[in-house]
Amino acid sequence: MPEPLQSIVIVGGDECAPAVAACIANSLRGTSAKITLLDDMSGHSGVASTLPQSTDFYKLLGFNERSLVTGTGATFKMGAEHSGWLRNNRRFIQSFGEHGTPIRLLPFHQYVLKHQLADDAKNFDDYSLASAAILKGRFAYPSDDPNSLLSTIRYGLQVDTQRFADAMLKYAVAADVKHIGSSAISASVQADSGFIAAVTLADGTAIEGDFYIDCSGERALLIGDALSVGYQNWSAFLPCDRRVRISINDVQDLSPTTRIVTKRDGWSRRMQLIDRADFEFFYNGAICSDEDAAQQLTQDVGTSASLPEHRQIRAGRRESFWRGNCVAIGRSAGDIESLEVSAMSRAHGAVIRLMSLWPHINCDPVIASEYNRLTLLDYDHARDFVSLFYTLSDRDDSDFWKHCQSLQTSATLQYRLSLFRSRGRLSWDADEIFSKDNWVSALLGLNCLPRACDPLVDVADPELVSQFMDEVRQAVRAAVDDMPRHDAFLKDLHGPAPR
Amino acid sequence: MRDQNLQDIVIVGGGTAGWMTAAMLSQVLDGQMGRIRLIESDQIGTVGVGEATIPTIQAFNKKLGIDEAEFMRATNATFKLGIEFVNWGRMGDAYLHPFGPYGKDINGVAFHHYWRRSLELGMDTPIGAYSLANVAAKRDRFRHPSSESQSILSTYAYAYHFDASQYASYLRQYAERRGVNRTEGKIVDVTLRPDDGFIESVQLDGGRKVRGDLFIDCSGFRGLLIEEALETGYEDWSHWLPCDRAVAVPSENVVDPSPYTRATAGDAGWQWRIPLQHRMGNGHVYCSSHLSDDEATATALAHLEGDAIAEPRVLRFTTGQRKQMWNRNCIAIGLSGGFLEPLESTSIWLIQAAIALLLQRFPDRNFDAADIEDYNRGMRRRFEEVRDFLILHYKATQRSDTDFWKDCANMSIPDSLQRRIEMFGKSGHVIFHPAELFIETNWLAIYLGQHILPETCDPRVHCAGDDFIRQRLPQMQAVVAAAADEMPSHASAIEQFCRAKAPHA
Repeated sequence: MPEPLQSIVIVGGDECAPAVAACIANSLRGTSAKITLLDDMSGHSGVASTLPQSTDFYKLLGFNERSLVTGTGATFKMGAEHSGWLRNNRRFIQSFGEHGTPIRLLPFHQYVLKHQLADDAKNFDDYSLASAAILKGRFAYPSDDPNSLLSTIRYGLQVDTQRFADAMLKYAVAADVKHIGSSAISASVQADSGFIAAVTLADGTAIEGDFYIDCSGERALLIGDALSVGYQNWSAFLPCDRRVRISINDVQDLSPTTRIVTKRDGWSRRMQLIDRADFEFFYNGAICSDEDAAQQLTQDVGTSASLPEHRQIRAGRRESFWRGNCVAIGRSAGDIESLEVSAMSRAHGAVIRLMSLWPHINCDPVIASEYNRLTLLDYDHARDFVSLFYTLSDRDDSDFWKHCQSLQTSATLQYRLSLFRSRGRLSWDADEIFSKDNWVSALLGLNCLPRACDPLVDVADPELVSQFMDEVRQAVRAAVDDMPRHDAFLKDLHGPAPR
Repeated sequence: MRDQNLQDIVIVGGGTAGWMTAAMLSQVLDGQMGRIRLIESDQIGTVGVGEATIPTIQAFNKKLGIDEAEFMRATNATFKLGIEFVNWGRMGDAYLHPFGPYGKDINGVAFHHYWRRSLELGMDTPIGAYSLANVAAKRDRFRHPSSESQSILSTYAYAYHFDASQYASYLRQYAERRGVNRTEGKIVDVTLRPDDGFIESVQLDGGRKVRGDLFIDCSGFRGLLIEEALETGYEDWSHWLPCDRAVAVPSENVVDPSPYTRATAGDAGWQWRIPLQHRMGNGHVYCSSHLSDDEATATALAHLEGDAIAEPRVLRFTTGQRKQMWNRNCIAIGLSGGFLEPLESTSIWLIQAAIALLLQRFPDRNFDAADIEDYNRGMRRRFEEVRDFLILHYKATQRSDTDFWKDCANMSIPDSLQRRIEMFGKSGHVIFHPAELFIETNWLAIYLGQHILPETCDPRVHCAGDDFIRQRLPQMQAVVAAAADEMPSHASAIEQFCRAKAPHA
């Protein structure tokens, strides 16, 4: 029987590194494995949001989410508001909640479609408590009681990545992770096995382990530099390769949502934390200069902003994520513009998957190939979800949007679209990151109407259906008014002495 | 769009597949989607697939709103907690594939990893001792599971053994009450539309023509519409699943029915034993290039526990699937769509899955290609999953007493299955997709029951420590044993709940 791994080295740099360390340490608590994190903790400033799935991650860690929220100044979000993807400047909500309930086994959206196709504009958002809460700035925790409408909502967090990383580091250190506050600068590979042999710090110290996690971010020190695993470039699908961020000291608008607005040369998002708001603008560097981008962003913000901070986005993913004794998590594994496809949640999902496939010292390639197969699906699903927005957008009023019109659509997304365009049906697999309702919200929000709705819609008595739909809408309206305001909820959570 | 809705749905063939389809369509369409007609001929016998089912059948019956006790009485049904496999991995082996998990996750790590570690610690309790379904089945006990998630009685599911012809009759009454028109007659010709090759009508002996918008082919192996009329083509899987015949013979019950199916491997195939209230279903699935019909029949008869109550009947089949289950305006459901031997009681499930998918991709008269493609893709996935699961039973054998088993052990298998077996053997990790029929417990039962023991356990097992395992596992085993002992016997559960009125009718 092969021996268990004894020494795990996490090469940091990416904002997910401390969380990865914390999770591994917690999962291996009680064993003799030694875990080392190399991270100077300098490059983590920024803002990120999580998907509802990240709750599983906190649970696995035994992490108290409430103290995470209060300790890092995070806010809740129940989805995102989109505007400007279409020429008609239509707005829609991409909420984490459910919309209505199935009627006679048919998905609720089919009945909405029936009305929309008959030019009776029923709005999908009206049937979702999470969407209503976003519009009214309300928040409550979901309920376990299936009879309560509160059981239909889900939420993620908007977090300051530096504070989040600090909290994770604290947790990791308490779980016996050895933290070395400097970065690795190179790695060596064993000639015969192709395994990583050691990593070297700036001062020349070599750190050896028998398993390495490459969380070095876009440098990809191990998976790229040392192991030369190829990178699949997705610029044919996704247009943005630059991002600029500014922060302002705005605490006025505490809606539980991320606001996404398209602009002439890309799109921007606003994420509200407890003590500031961050604006990010995603654009294409060949079409729009950094200065231009910063200007387009600050224009809207109006108030004094922090210095703009730029970064590159290398749209794509590794050909494989686990090679030999090295697994890449975070931007070393792949990078996708952050249109509601949370890189943080993807990293959380990756480390949960890694723990469920945790290897022995021989790092059997069969296990690595299963990890790679599943992780690849995650990235491809996320790519398709972002690509959907560009595929369905009809804007062509600038060089950027003209470029978007020429982007490709993957075969998997084409398949999904052609099925939806037939009768509003969704090709969807149970292990996808985005729920069926996420897809339907985006498809309907981007005005992708099928030729017809499901013919079985006609089986139910139309009057009873209309009546039921009205009841759902009214129940949503009533329930949202019973939810606390998001700012009040946060204030309560933080306790009597606000920060 | 309403004017494009189907007006005439024609189901061809009235066996289990035909009447299950008719019953469900009559329920879901509720008289709002045109007429449903089922054509069958009393002159053509039905194969009566199934007899043994898996727990998913409950969702089907529930959707129809069927009363469980009434249905069980009408079909001479018994309860089923799993399938026992005898002589598969090695001669003399017996293990049960239970309808409920082994033990419980500990700290997010699946129980079987702890069990694997316990073997190294010198403990030798078989994994089945940690599954209540397994222990209750072997002690001939049954009670309905509890819906209380904290109770150990919530850790199993159950299915039925029933008389498939009686089930078809029961569903026929159900469907006819809901307006399904049964037309007696034998189909002698099929007319295709000249422009697009869709089926326009079928002609009955006597000259009558029946038109339809959608035709559902439940005609059995021959595939009267899907193959004889539309020449869809068939994908042959007999290089992986070489059995191609079965001989079926019912016998008198001489003991109380047990709450599990038994599948006993023979020289070149396997024998089933399915206990019903009024008789025992027996049969022998075999490979004709290794065993003659006479030999196979003799073996089947020699193993009967009671007297035979009908002549043995030989069936021939080719394992595989129709290249497209849905071709133009014709959907093949049941044996016309494909055949996989009933080793894991999946025949009725495959019918059920086809009906469910049809309802999710229900057409109108435009018959959109995207819907049809997605249906075919979905059914292919389901067939291939069951195929792989069945192949595992043949591949994972150490038997070398006959050429048949030697060939099985040496055959090359689909990559999809190879990957699963290697993964489990190396790491103990079970690959399965959450949307699949067979999940962790199912794969585990066969792997472990047929001697695929992982080289290692999940390293996180060591977090708990060996002393924990030494203490905890015997406790879990005792809880399971005590719960099984408190259940009534299977015979008394049937007596109380669903004794058929005339058990020997």
